[in-house]
Parts: sequence; C-alpha cells; structure tokens
Amino acid sequence: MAEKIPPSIYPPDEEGKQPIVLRHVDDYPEVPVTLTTMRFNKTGAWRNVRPVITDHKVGPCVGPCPMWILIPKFMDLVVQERFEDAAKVILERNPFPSITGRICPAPCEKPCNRRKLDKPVAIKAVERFLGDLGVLEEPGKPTGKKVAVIGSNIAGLTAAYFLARWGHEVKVFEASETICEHLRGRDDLPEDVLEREIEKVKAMGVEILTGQQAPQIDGFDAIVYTQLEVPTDADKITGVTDEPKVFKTGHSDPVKAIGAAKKVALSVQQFLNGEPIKPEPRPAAVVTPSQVNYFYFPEIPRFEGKEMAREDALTEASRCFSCGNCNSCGNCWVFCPEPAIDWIDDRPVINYDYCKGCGVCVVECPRGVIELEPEWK
Amino acid sequence: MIEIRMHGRGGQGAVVASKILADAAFRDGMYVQSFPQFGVERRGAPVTAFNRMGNPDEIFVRSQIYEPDHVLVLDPTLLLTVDVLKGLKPGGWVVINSPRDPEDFYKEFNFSRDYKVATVDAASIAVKWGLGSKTQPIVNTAILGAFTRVTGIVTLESLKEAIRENAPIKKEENVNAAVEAYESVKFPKEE
Amino acid sequence: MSFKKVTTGNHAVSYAVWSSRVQVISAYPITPQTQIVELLSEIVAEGQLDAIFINVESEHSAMAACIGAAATGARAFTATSAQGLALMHEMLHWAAGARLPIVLANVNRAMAPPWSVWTDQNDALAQRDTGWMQIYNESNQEVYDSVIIGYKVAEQVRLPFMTVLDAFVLSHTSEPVEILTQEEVDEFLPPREFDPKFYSIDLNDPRGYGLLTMPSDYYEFRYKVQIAHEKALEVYKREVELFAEIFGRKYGVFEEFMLDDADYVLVTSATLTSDAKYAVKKLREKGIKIGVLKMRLFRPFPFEDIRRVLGDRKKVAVIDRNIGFGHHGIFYQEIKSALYPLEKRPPVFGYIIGIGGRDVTPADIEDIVDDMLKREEMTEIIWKGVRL
Repeated sequence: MAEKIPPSIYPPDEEGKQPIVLRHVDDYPEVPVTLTTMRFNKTGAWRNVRPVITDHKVGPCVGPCPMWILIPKFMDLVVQERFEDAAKVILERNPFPSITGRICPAPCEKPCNRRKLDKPVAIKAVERFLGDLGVLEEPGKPTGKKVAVIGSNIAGLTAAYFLARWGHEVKVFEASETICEHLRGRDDLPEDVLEREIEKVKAMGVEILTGQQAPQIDGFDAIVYTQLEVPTDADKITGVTDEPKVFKTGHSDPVKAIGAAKKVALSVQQFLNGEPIKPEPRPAAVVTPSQVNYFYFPEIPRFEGKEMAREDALTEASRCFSCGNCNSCGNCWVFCPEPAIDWIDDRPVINYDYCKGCGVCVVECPRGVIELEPEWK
Repeated sequence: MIEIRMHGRGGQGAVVASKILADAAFRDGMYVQSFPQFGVERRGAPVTAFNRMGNPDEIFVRSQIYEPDHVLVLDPTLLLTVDVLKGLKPGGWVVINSPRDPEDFYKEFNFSRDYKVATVDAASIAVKWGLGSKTQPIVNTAILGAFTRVTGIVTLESLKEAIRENAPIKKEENVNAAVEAYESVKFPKEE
Repeated sequence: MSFKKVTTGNHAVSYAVWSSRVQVISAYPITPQTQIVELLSEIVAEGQLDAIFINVESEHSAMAACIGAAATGARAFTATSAQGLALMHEMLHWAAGARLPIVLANVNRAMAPPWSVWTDQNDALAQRDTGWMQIYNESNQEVYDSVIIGYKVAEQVRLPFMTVLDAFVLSHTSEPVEILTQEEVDEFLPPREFDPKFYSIDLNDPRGYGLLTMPSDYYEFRYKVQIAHEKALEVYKREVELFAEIFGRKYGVFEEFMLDDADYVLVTSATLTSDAKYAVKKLREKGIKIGVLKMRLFRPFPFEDIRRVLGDRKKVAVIDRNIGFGHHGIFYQEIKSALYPLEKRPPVFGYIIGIGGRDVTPADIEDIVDDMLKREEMTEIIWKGVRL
C-alpha cells in the first residue's frame, strides 16, 4: 500500500473527497505505488469479449464412453485421494465398474488429449481400482411405484439398479436358474467379481427371481424387457414401445448394454414421474487439444498393468488433465493482470467490473475450462 | 608475526589444517589469519595454504606469504616437484610427513642446515586412527600435532580444542592422531 | 555474551544475516559467493532462522524474489558476485526505484572475459548509478557489522544497501570475528516491523507498483531517490555512532589511519588497505609523513568529509583496484571531483593495481609512494605492476 497521502493543503472537491494533487515534490509518494486502490478503474468497460468459467465441458473421453462417465471429474477426486467420492461419480452412470474395469474395450482412452504428450491415461485400470473398492450407495426414498424388469442380463441389472436407487420397488424376473448367465465363464471376468456386483444390485433392494416367466403387466407401473441384442420394436434410445408402460432395451455388447439400459432407466423414471420422455443430450462440449495448455503437464509414464495399487492410481490419475473440470488450480487468478478474478469458496469467479477480456485466463487455464464469448453478437 | 606455509595435495586437508592451526593460535590469545592459495582445488593437485599469527596490535597484511617462518609438508613426494623451501627464513622448521629420519632430508635433498627438519609418520598415524583411507590417509591433524611440538607456537590443549571445533567428522580420532604425532615426532640431530 | 569465532568472510555474512533476523533469502550460487547462502540454507533448514529460502534459476530472479518480498515489508537478503551481479542489473534499478531496503552482499570478483574468479571492484562499481548504497569492507569483522548496519540504515531511508567484500582475500580467509548475540543485535536492529505506510501488498486493495509514469511526474520520483541518498549519509553517520556506543567498534564514512599530521595521503578501499597501512607504518619510521584514508561508504559519496580531510594535504594518491575504461580508476574520479570546488587543492595521482586478483604487497604500496613523491602533476594513468 502506498504511503497515505499526507493531509492535503488542497481543499476537498464537491463530493467532499480529498483530491490527489501533485503540485510539489512532497505530494508524491516515496515508494512508487498508486495512491489509491486500482479498483477505481473499472476496466471491465474495455471488454469486447468475455471469458466464462464453464461447467459443461468434458474431456474427449466422455463421449465415446457408452455410459458417459464423467472421467475428468473422478480422476480429479482420485488426485485428491477422495476415492469413495471418485467411485460414486462412476456409480452415478455405471453400477458395475468392477465389470467394465475388466471387460470394457476402453473407447475412452483412444481420443485422450494426453496422447499428444505421451500416452493416454489408463482410465480402465483406474476404473477397475475404484470399482474393486466396493463402494455402496443407498436406495432412494420409496416412491411406491413398482417396476418389473424382465431378464437378469447386464442390461436388466443396470435398469433395475438405477430404478431402485431412484426409490422404485423393482423385481427382476429371470426365466433361467442363473443370474446374468451371458457374462459367466469369461476369462476376463472372474465369477466372484460378477457375484459381488450382483450383490450390489440386491443390496439396492432389488428382488431377483430366477426360474420365473414375465409377470402380468397389471401389477406394475412399468415393465422393462431386456434382451441380448438391440430391440427392433422400440425407440433405440428411450426404449419406448408401442405398448403403454412397456420399455425395451438390450445390446449384444455388454458394455454398450449398460449404457443403453441406463438411458432407458431414465425414460422409465421420466414416465413414472409423469414427465415428457426426453433423452439425455450427448455431452457435446469437448475440450480439444488446442484448448489444453500442455506447458503445465510433464511427461509421466503410463500405468501398463491391469491391477493397480493405491500409489499407481494416484500417479495415473495425476496424469489426467482433468479436461473441462476446474480443479481450482489458481492459474487464472495468478495470471489475470487486473483484479478480475475473485476467489470465493475455493473457486475462481470472474469479476466483470474489472475483466477487460484480455483472454490470458483462457490461455493459461491448463484444462480448457474457460471460454471466450463475444460481448455482443 | 609468524607466517606459515603448508604444502599438501587436494584432498589431504591442508586448507582445513590451516584453519585449525589459526583457531588454535587464536585460543592462545593471538590474532590470526588463515587462507588457501586462492583458486580452484582439485584432488591430487599441489595445494598451498597460509597462516599468519601474532600480536593483535600488529597490522596483518593480506598479501600472500612469500617468506614464511615455517613450512609444513603433508606429502613428501611434493619435494620432488615443488620448491617447498622457497623463501623460508633461516632457522625455520620444515615439518614433513614421512617415516624417514630428518637427517635423510639433509642428505638426499641437500637441505641447508639453516633449516630445522622434523619428520613424523603422519600417514601411519592417520591410518591407525581411521582417518581417510589406507591409500589416501588424511594427515592434516597429525602433522599439526608434530608442528605444535617442535615449534611450541601453539599449545597442545588449544590444538585439541581447535580440532574438536573444526574437524568435520571423527573429532576424537583426529585429536588422538595429533597427540600421537606430538609424541612421536623426530627431531634433527643437535649440531 | 557475544563471542569471537575464527571464520571466513563468507560465513561472517551468513552469521550477520542470521543475527539480522532476515525473513526472506533468495540467491543463486556463484563462486566465490556460494558459501554465504550455503550456510544460510542450512541455518534456515535447521529452523534456526525463521526465514523463507527461495531457490531461483538466476540472479535476476533472486533479486526479483527479494523485491517481491521487500514490497510486502519483509526483510530480504541476497548475495552474488561478478557476472551474477551483472545479470541482476535491471532488478537493481527496480529495487532502488521502488525504494526497497534489501541488503545484498557482493563478493568482489573480476568480470569475464577472460574468465576470472579473483578479486577486483569492477563488478560492484559498474552498479554505481543504480541507486544502491555501497560499502566496502577491509576485514571479516567489518563484513559482519556492515550487514547489520546496512539494514538499520536501509530501512530508515528506504534504499537498498550493497555490502562488498573481496573475493578470497576476505571471502575465503579465516580470521577472528566477534559474533553478537541475538539480544545484542536486537538492541541495535530490532526485528523488522510491518510497515504498511510504505510496504504492504493487500489482495483486497490492489495497487499499481512502479506503473507507467508520465514525464509530468517521473522526474519527481528520481529527485526523491537523490534526496534519500543525501539523507542516508546523515543516517549512516548517526547509526555508526550508535553502533560504536553499543559495541565499541567505530566506523565512519571512511577510516583515517595516521592522517593527523600527514602531508601525503593514500586513498584506498577494501583489503589492500591492510597492506597500505603496513607500508605506511614502515614509511613513517623513515620519516615520511604519510597516512591512509580508507574509503568505506562509496554511495552516498561523502563529498564534504573528503574535502575536509584531504583539502590541506600536499599530495594524494588514490589506489584503485578497478578501472573505468576510457577514463580512470573510479575512486580516483570521485575523489578528484570531490576536491574540485576547493580553491586550494592537492594534486591527486591515480594508481591502478591488483586487477583480477593480482596480489598486492606492502612493497607495491611503497613503490607507489615513491612514485607519488617524485611526481609533480598527474599526466597519465599509472598501472602498477602491469608488464610493460
């Protein structure tokens, strides 16, 4: 802070403020610092473009994932060693990370922005690590609605899991004596892992009845038929059929089946709530390599194994750029040449009174969170 | 004012020896100055270090020492390549790390009888007390013990204290080496 | 109780920085300075000094870090030498222009090329016009005391302070130094207090630091730096008096040796003064009425004091361990300009010696005196000892 102006010999102005008048060398401060706060100068008036701290952008990994798991978000939580929270981000969209962490072909890894630097993040291995922690979620508040799911294949279990979690009473009807038979006997998926994941569905309050044919529809508010291929007689995304209350889903690829069933579960939920059935939009705002500031990321060798220790997971997650996901790194605050970034609750907030739209924050954001928008179109 | 020059090789501890000697003299009430030959020191290369000690009221010049009162030689092979007696004042002591007898140096190197040669087997003493390695013993504290005995400029007590203060490791072993050298130093024949 | 310790000039600086309760240290290693910050980094790492040690990638950054620290009101320190000081040059201007009381220890080392690690004064004197105060030291005790006095003066006049010690001849030479206790130093130099009137960085009250200033205003800031230097001379004199009262060691703007009745005066600085004193004492025994004026404070330059002490002498010889290329030794220029306003002034002879660490002996000084006694007027630069 500059030396406060000594009691001025000059009279106050009309508003009663003491004017800063530099008529004599003694009026000057010794230390060349401005005499008043820089906040008087609302540089925001100079702006023709405005930076926006976005919260809807995702990494290129999210779109190719059949479940659209928010990978950058859970990776950031792993970095913070908040493993349970990280696992819950996955469970939000995929009930079975222990299964997909083993059998998924990992389409998420192919477009990873890190490939321009060294190698993609080993997302699948981190997912497996988090899945194997066995984190459980609570069932939702009971809604009194009843749903029947026909078939205990992975699509059926997925739909049942989400609908139960949202508070509905769910029963799964399986004609054979074996739950999820199509995933048994695989080299890449041990039986005990599959059993553990099935137990999670049961723990969610789902009743799985084996050796049972499909029930009459009358006793249920909705019924979901599942199968091992894409149904031809239903909407490919929402699973809506011509019959009222009846939905259909399925896929020959078990990973895509989970993604499809998740979307159909959402339509069932919308139907039960009496809302119009509207599919979730595909995450479109993707952080491109040109929006990543590679300067901030050193090369780190990729984890090449399958089963991770805690330290491996931490290292691997630290490789993730966390594209589109603000992790409060503070770069925008450091580089902003005006007092235009306020720091509120450990988050940057742009103060448009001072932001002059220079765009330094956009360039210095390592992970493409901040975007420039024109002030006027 | 007494001026002393030490000849050693990089790694033998001549510079530390110079500092220990200064500290010992300081403990005996003298004003002191200790400095290495200014420059870069490399292992094995000839190294020189200097000491001045005297009455605190004297003016201590800061030039290098060209006419020392005494000379210490930490490695006898330096005699083959370095003129260790250069500028040495008559009557000065030459304390050499060697198992040989002082008389050998008068004979083999034609030392003038103006100088008093004392020898001490500092290398064996250093090895005995585990200072340095067998091939590269650190002889600096041992030779100071011998110097202390023959010149009497500093006291053995002050030397011991200075070693304890300045030796980076093995303080007591260094003290023991100095004491052993103090006791075993060989004097020249009385004329 | 204070105690005496046989230590090097470099470590004397480190101990003084420790005694001064410095809060931020930032430096980059360079021979022959490295030991200063080496010891300080240990002292800080062991928690004995409550300071932040900032590692940087260059001397320019080291000074930049000190500037940032001092701008918040912290007591900041750095040390460097020769090329490192030259690399700091831009930031030296900034520190002085921003009126930051940083203390810098410069180990005087000759500038490359050709490469040299040995002493002369061209590195520090090349920074003459940056606005820093400068003091030259003859002994390790002076080196220790100058850091403490430096902070005391710098913080009152809000100017940075450079203390200078000769490479190897002080930096690597061990001699007894009285190390003061913390309580003793605190009595003279209390811990730095937060000084929001001049120094503070408040995130909620952002200010512009050293902003673009129009020709209508810049001039006044420069004038104020000059006024601060003039005030610094008075403050320095007052503080060394106080220092002498408390610790018994008396320092002036310069030191007078056998000057009372001297017809002839050798003007020296830094370590070659010791050799000059020795030579002068011998010459006195031969009946030559000669003395030594050892310059300590170079900036601010004590014009009045120089006039008072040298005005009436028969001859003055200025011995420079530096060269202002195209002109003359730098102390020589300054002494001559100080004497110019006098109606009757002694002839002043300029000698260059000891450049790049060439050894200076009392015999060299005696040669200079012989030469001076023979000369009637100054006609040329006299390069003592150069092979012609």
